[in-house]
Amino acid sequence: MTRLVTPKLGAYAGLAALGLFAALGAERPELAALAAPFAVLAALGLVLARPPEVGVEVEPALERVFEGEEVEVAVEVESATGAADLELLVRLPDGLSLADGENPVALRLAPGERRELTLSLRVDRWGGYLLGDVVLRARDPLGLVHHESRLDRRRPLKAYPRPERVDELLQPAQTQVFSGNYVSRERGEGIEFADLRPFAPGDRVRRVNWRASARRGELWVNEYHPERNADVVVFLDTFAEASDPEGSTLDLGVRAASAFVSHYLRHKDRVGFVSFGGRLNWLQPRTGVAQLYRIVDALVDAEIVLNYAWSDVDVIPRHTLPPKALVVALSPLLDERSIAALLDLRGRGFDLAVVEVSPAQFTAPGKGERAELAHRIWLLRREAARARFERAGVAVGTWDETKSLVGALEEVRAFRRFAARAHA
Amino acid sequence: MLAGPVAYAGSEPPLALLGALGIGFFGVGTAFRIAEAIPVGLVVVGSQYALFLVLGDGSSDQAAPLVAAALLLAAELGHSALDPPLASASPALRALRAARLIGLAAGAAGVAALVLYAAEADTRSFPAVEALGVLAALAAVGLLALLARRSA
Repeated sequence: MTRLVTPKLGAYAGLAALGLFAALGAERPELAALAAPFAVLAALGLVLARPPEVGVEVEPALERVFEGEEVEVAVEVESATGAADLELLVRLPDGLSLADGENPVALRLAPGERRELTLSLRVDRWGGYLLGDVVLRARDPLGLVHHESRLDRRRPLKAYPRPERVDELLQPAQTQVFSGNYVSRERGEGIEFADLRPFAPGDRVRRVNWRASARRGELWVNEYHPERNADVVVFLDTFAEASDPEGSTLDLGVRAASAFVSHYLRHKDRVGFVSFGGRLNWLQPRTGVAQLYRIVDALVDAEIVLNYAWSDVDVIPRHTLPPKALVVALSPLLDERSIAALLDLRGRGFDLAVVEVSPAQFTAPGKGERAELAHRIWLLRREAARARFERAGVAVGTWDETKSLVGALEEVRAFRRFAARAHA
Repeated sequence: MLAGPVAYAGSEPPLALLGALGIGFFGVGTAFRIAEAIPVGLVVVGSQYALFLVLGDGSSDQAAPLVAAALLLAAELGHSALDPPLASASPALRALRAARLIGLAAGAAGVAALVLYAAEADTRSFPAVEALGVLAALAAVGLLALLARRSA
């Protein structure tokens, strides 16, 4: 523990010395009587000041919570020597706030006493936290000397993003070979009727369409669309964000990504993840609950890392972007590198859909004519960026304060339906 | 803090001026959390008391232990205003802190009374008191040595 002498000790020593000298000079014992208590107190304070032995343990009740939930944290304090006046503060990282309990707290511990305190913390924002940076301050009985220490009792706490509401997913243009929930364009074993064709050796009898066969005088069989799964890659743009104290485009993007991942995995799809920005992070497409946890853990670590280096899709490992995969990009479209990378993906034939997490909701126009003009020009540039995607045949749905994520996805779906008709 | 300077100001303008100055320093120190202003205020109030004694008739002031207790109490309260606790204490801890303050004031009055008694005692007729004084001086030197060794 660090020993800190308070200004009081110096003041008392000075007052005592001054009083005693004054008593000698004026030959008045009353002044010595005035100075004596200060002298005694200063001397006693130094003799009695002993660093207390205090042990602290911090243990969150849960290791994983969802954004918006509360988590109880047990703080155990014990002192072998006792502490007359102890102040304890558990420093809370940004994103966690105190919902219930006292922090900091003042305690008096008898020798050997053990006390358990409970703090209830609210998780305000998703993220990976280390909880347990403890600051202790013990005052000596006379308040002349403090002992301070900082204990590192950090325990990990992962706060998963609260998923956004998604009713219906974007349908991939092409499916893969494994069975799933999408009706494939291919023909094979399935439930959905596709077409009729003449019987061929090897066809099952149960597939013969007897009515059509009777009409045409030869055997005809039904063909079906098989139910297949798809490969989906959730692409999160982490080059730049727009934010205000209430949230940021990255916060919204992470919540939407979490919702997409859990929905697609529930549909038996293989889901991969790419966090494309100042720091590249990726997970190859896989299925199952384990993949959900892997991706959500990766999402929790997503952050904006400032980087001026030019990055393109070549830096993404090839297996992360399998052929025929649907790439769902979540981007504020603020950085030219991410826009270029997405257009490059489209150019390479990927089925791409972009959900634009609009930064306009976090950026109010400044005051004055020029500032308003600058804001309007910025909005026009954003429209131009969206138009570049639409010209490349990429659907862009804008998610802003006027439209929910469901609305943005509907915008994407409508464009994709129109684009499919145009191609046909 | 107010009672002492007002009581000892009497009708002497320099005493009243010193008292007001002391209270001013003390008030500014506690209000704006200026650590240096508090001992200055106490020194000025102490000077007022010293001037009162010097200007007096030379008889011993029997209220000196009370002045000492009041001065220490004011100093304790002033310094606790400078360095307020981080956390709000429980009622039991608050009571303990208040009891500590009262105990300190009572102890200060006791120490001051003892000093006053020792100063007024006729040590020539009581060799034991003289021996106690020598022991106290030796203890003070020993304490200084101990503190010097601990801080080294």
